[in-house]
Amino acid sequence: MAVTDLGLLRVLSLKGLAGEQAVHDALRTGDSRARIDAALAAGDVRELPRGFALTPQGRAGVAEGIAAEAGAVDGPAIDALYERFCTLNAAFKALMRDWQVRQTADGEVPNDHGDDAYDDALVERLGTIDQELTPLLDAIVAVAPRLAGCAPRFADALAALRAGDKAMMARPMIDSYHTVWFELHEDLIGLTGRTRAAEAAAGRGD
Amino acid sequence: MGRYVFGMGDAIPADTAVARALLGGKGAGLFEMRRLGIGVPPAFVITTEAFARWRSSGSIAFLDEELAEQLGELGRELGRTFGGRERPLVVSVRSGAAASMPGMMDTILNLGLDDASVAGLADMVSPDRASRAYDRLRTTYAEIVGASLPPDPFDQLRGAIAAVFSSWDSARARTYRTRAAISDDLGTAVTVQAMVFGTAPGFSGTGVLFTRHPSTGEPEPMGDWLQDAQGEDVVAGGHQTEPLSVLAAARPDLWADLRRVAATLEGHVQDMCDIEFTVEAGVLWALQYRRGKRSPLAAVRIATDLADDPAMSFSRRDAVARIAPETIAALLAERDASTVAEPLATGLGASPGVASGKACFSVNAALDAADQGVAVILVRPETSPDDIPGMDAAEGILTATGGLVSHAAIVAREWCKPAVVGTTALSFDGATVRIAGQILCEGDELTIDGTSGHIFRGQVTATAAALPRCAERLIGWAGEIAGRSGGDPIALLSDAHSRLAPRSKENA
Repeated sequence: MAVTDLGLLRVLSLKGLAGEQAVHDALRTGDSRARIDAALAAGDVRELPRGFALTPQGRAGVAEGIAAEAGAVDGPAIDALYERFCTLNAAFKALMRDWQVRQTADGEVPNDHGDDAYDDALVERLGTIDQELTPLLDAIVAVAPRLAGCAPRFADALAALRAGDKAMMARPMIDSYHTVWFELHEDLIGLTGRTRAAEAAAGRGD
Repeated sequence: MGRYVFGMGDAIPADTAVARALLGGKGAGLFEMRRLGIGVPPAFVITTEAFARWRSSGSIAFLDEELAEQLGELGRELGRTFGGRERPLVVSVRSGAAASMPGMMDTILNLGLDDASVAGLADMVSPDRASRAYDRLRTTYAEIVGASLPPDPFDQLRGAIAAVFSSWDSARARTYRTRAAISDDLGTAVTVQAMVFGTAPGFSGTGVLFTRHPSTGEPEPMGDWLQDAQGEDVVAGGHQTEPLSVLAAARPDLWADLRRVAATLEGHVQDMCDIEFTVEAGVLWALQYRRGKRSPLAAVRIATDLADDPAMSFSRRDAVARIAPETIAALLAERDASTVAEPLATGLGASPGVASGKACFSVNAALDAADQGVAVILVRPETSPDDIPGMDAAEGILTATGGLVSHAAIVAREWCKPAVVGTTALSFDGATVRIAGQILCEGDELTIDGTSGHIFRGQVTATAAALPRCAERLIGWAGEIAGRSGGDPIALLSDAHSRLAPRSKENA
C-alpha cells in the first residue's frame, strides 16, 4: 500500500475542497496531478463536482499524520514560535481590517479599493510584517520542514500585490496572502497540539 | 521646434483624451479648472513628448530654456522668485500619467528651497515651519531622487523631473503595466505647481469640501477645515479638524468664494465633487477636485436631486444610467431588518448586509443544500480554513466565537457576504446547537443582519417602505425606460440599463 502523502492530504484538509490549480499552488511541485491520482487510487481522496476532497480514510490519515508530526516536533520550541506568531498575527489582523474597512468622518465604510494611495500604504505595511515573518518562518521550518512551502507562497502573493494585483491580499480560495496565513495559522495550531476551538475561546483563534 | 512645456496661459488640445495623454490626468485637470475661472495655484506641465525625447536622448537639457521661462511666469503671477532670498517661489513636482499607476514617483514638496531662500520662506510662514519644510525637502529628495539635494534650486528641479521620468521604468510600474495592458511607450508628464501656504500670517488654513453630504446625499456642502495648517498636516492626522461652518462664520467672503467654486465644479462634471483647498493670507486657492466617494444612499439621492435641478443638464435617463444595479442591491442590503422583527440574539456584525437561509452546521451540509438551490446560513462554532468552501456556498455566516478581525470576518467581507461572529448566545454541545436557549435544528430558517449583528428566526424580508423615497423614484424612472413596473427593483434597473446602452454608445 502506498505511503500516505501527508503533504497533499494536508493541503486538502486545510482547503476542505480544492481544484487542481489550488492544490498545485499550495504544493509547489510539478507532480501535483500525479500525486492526486495516486491518492485517488489509494482511496484517500475523492473527486467531487467542485474539486477534490478527502475521504474518511484520508481524513483519518491526516489526523494521524499531524498527531505524529506534533508528537515528533520539539514542543517547547514550537510553543515559543507559536507565541511569536500570535504577536505578529495581531498586527496582520489589524492590517486586514484596514484593508477591508476604512475609517471616515461618517464612520466605517467598506474599502472600495479605488484609492491606490491608501491601498499602496497598506501593501507597504504588509511588507514590514513580511520582513518580520520571514525569519520566524525560517525558524518554524527548521522545526517543521513540511511548512517550507509557505515561504514562496507568501513571497509570490506579496510580489503580485506590489505589482497592483489587489486580490492577492485577502481573496479567499486563491493563494492570497491571507489564504496562506490562515493555513499556516491552522498548521501551527495543529503542531502545538492545540485546537482551533480552544484557541478561539482563548481569544486567539481569530 | 516643438514645445515641451505648457503653462497656464497656453492653449492645450481641445480633445480631453489627447490633452490627458499629453499632460497627464492631474495636469489636464489643472488646466480645466483654470479654464472654468477657478483660482488654482499657477502651474506648468512638462509633456509626455518631453518624456519621449528624454528617453531617446538620455538628457533633459533641452528643457532648460522653457523651464526658466515658465518659472518666471509662475513667479510673476504670485510676485515671487524661484531661488529668491525675498519671497521665494516654492513648487511641488508630481508625476502624471494618463492613468495613475503604482510604482510611479509621487510628489516632492517644497522644491526650490536653498540656504538663502529658506530665510525668505521664514518671513512668509515662520522660521520654524520654513526649516521643517527645508528638512522635509532634503529627506524626500534623497529618498525619491536618490541623491542629496543640489544647492541650486534649478538643479533640484532638473533632478526631480528626471526622477519622475525614470520612475516610469521602475520594476513595479513595468509589472503593473504588463498586467494592466498599458503600453510602455505612453510615458509620463510632470506637473510643477507653485505652492501656497496655509500657514502664512493673516487668515490661512486648509480644508476639504464635499459639495453634498457623502453619506446621506443631502444637497448641503460638508467637510473639514483646519486653520493655520498645510495640507499634509490634515492627511498626517494628529490635528483636530473643525467643520466648515467655522470657516463660514470666520470669513463669510471666503465661504462665498468656496461655494462658487463648488457650484462651478458640480455644474462642470454634473456630479458631487470633493475639493481640496488652501487659504493663504485671505486668498482662496483650489488645489484639486475629484468626483466624491459616496454611500449607496447618497449616490441615489444625488442622482435624483441632479435630475430635479433645472440648472443641471442632467435628465432622469442620466440618473438611471448613473446608478448601477449593485448600488440598489447594496441599499437593500443596508436596510435594518430589526424594524420588522424582534431579534432572537445579537452577535457582532462583521460584514454588512442581510441574508436568510436554512441553517447548516457543516460544510458538507451547506454544499449539498446549495447544490440543490437552497439558500444556506452556515452556522459554525468557529471557522477553520476548510470551512471556506462552505462559506462560499452560503448566503451568510454565523459563528459563536471570533471577533471583527477573525478569519471568518475577513473572508466574509472579501466576498461581501453578510456575517455575524462572536455570538455568545450560540452554543454547540455535541450535536445539539442552541441559540438564546432555544434548540436550533439543521434546516431551520434563519436571518442574519451583518450590520447590526441581529439574528432572527425565519425569513425576515425587506419591506417596500425600507427603500428610501429617492430610490423608489429612481426605480420608477427605470420602469418608464424598461416599459414595465413592479417586481425586483434590481432586475428592473438592469433591464433599463440594457435599453439605455445602445443610446449611450451613440452619445460616446
